[in-house]
Order: sequence, then structure tokens, then C-alpha cells
Amino acid sequence: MSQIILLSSDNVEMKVDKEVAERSILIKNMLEDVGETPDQAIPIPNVNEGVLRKVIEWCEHHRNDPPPPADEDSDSRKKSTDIEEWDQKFMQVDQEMLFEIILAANYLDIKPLLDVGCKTVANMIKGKSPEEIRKTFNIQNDFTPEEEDQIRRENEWAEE
Amino acid sequence: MPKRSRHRPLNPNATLSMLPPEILEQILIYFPAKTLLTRHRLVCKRWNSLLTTSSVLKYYSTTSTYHPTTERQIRWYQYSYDFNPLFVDILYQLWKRLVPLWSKYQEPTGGNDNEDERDIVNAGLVREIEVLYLRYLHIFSIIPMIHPVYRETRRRIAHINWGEIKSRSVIVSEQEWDQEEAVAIAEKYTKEVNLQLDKKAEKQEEDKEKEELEEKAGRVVKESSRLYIPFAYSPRSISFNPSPDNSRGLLVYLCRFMFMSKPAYNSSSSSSSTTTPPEMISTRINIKVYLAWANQDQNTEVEGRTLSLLSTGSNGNRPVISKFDINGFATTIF
Repeated sequence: MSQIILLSSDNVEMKVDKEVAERSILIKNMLEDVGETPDQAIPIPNVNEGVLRKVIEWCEHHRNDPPPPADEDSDSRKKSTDIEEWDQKFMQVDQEMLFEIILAANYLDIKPLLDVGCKTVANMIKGKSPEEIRKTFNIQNDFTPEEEDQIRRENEWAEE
Repeated sequence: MPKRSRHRPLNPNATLSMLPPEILEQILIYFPAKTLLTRHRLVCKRWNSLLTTSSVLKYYSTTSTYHPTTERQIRWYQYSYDFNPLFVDILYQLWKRLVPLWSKYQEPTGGNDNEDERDIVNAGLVREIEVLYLRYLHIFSIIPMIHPVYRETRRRIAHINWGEIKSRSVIVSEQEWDQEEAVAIAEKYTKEVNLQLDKKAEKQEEDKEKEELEEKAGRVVKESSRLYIPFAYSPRSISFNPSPDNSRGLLVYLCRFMFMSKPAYNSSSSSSSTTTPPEMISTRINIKVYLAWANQDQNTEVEGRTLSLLSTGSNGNRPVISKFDINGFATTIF
């Protein structure tokens, strides 16, 4: 099996099976453009070693998954925030790593991993009040009391 | 301060606040429209502006692409795939508020012969309904209520001769009236209440009619993502002049309609002490709604749904809704 070398943003080289690396559409297209397996390391400038190792771990585990449906508007993707068990465990990382994985998946164009990341965050938001959401993700409440009142008034229809 | 993790180097962008908007969109898409609008908008300015401007979120959260999670939602949505879930939420809330009003404004003691007393009661009810209407006005003016139709569909529908379709009525009330007089009174007051609103609406309607004429003449149609409810004629026994593809028209309709649909209380309860809760309340109202949209093959589909609202029993002295169903009854593709 042919292997390729990926170079993280902090200049660490990692050898991976081509098939595994090709879970990333960005790398896949890159390799297709080059035509043959390159000898030199492929730089991944936006992803550091720790995150890249995590991403490769995910790709290794999902190497035999069928390709995601080509239809962008596929409803099924939007339906549920259920995450399979292995992915759930995989995503049990601190928030910073979680968001770095999401950013890396976005950059490397690994849609299923991006979905798992987004679902994980969605599950963290689920059932929380605005205040709890702010606390969980360290978000500053930048509304003036007047602005907040205005939104509350607009939401009067939904009050129980 | 968030705890710094062991791995390095730290990416300053790796917080939820710093995710690019398109990724935040992907996260928020998993939530129903009601949660997004009423809870998530309050998180911070960035979320608020994303939620009120993102066409992606507006589209997904107001169409049925999110999966119902609670038993209640599943029960409602299993037959209502093309209904806007937000619309169902809104109807549910509106209905829940209207039902207690009916118990509050019961027929005055002594039956229907005291006209003055009845007028006072009805005027109070009309005022409260007006207040309710204003509460819902905002949401109806910012969110498309049923299904965003594609430009192509609007054009096609403009060319349809609705007269050729047998069941061309769009919304028809199906409640069985036992008091014609009550209907007349309701109409009288509804007219008064809505006179002002109609004046405003008239101008809008004129503009819309002009736009439609332009469509028929084959001119360029303005891009529109608002709902399309092709009202064909006024439903029976309600003086109703809805403007096409206007959510507010639907709201006005519902308020008027529900105003007329006073539950039939057991008469013995109204003649006894006013503190006695109604013995039995059981009212079923069916509203037929025809929806039109473009399917994947760019054909126009028209589908009929019945919204069925059943109110039975009471909670203390207030009636409760026991059932809220949506059922399909007709599909036409052309």
C-alpha cells in the first residue's frame, strides 16, 4: 500500500496510507492533480501535530466508510444529532481540541468529520438557556439591556 | 477563563465564538426554528445577527428538514412533512391562548336574549384577540410560514386557472355551526376590529395585485422566499379578503376564524355560579389548508392538509387542548 507524508504546521512529518489521507477531499484532489504519489511531504499549514494526529486517527477508523452522498441538500444529514459510539468517544476532548478538529475538518474538507464535530457542539448547546450557553462556551453577552428587551418582546408569542 | 489544554501550539481561533459563520450555521441547523428564534438569538449579537440574516438557517429551520425529537412533535409531524414546523409551533401557542379566552368570555347568564350584555362580552373578547394578534404580528412578518416557494412555482401558479381545479378553496372552515346568530355577531365585531387593519392591508393588496398582473404578462418576477398561500376565494361565512402570499393575511384569518369558533359549553355551567368550571368542553375545528410548491422535477404540487384542533376537558377553570393533528387529504401534481 502506498504511503504519503503529511507535514503539520509545526513541522512534524507523519506517514499515512494514501487511502487514509484521501478521506480528506483537499488531499485527494491535490494527489489527483499531481498524478502520482509524491515523495515529498505535503504541508498542511493550518493544522498542528496534535490535531493532525487526531484527524488521522479518525480517518484510519473510517477508512472503509462509503463515500458521503454527493447530494449537498441531502435531508438525512440534517435530521438527527445522534453520533455513533466510536465517534462520541473520539470527540471526548477539551473544547479547544474540539474546535480545532472542526476547523481542521473544514480546511481539509472531511465532511463526515465536520458533521460529527458540529453534532457534538449541537449536543452541548441542546437544552441550555442563553446564559448557560454563554457560560459553556465563554461567550460575552454584548447586548445592551434595551436590545435584550427588544428581542424578548419579539419572542412574546412563544412564552408559555 | 477557559482552562488551557496541554496540546500546543494554541490556536486562538479554536473557540465557538471564533468559528467562521458557515460552521456556526452548520451547528445551529440542528435546532428547530422556535429554539433558534426564542432562545439562541439571545446568546450574543453575533448569533442574533446570524440567525436573523442567514438564509440557510431560515430555509432549513422553517422547512421540515429537522428531525422531530419529542413524542409530541413526532405525532404532529408524521403527516405533515411539508408543513413549516414553526408554523405548527405558532398555531399551537396561539390556540393555547385563545382557548382560555373562550372560557373567560362565556355566554352571559340568562341566555342569548340580553343583547347589551352580550355585546359587552364580545367587545372584551375582541380586544383580547387584538392584543394576541399584535403579539404574533412580528413573527408572522419576518418568517415565511409554510414553505418557501421557488420563483418558478410562483410563476407557474400565476398561470393556473384555479377555476378548473375542483377543490380550489384554500382554507375552508369545517366547524359545524349550531348558532347562525353567533356567526352573525362574530362577523359584525370582526368587521369592526379589522376595519383599520383592512385599510392598511388594502394598499398592500393593491401593490400585490399589480405585481401579479406583471407576472401574468410574463415580466420578470421578483425573487421572493415568502410563503405562498394561493387564496382563491373567501371561506364561507367569514368576511375575509386575504392578500396572496402573505403570512399576515393568514394570521388575520386565523384570529378571525378562532374568534368565531367559540366552544360550545354545556349550558348548565353558564347558568350556575360563575366560578364553576365548565362541565364539558369539547370542540373540534378542522381547517383545510392547501399548499403549493415546486417539487424536484419543477412540477407544481398542491397538497391539502387538515389541521384539526380538539379541545376537551379543563384544567381548573380553563379548557385544555387535548389534540392537535395534521392529516393529509389530497395531493395534486401538475
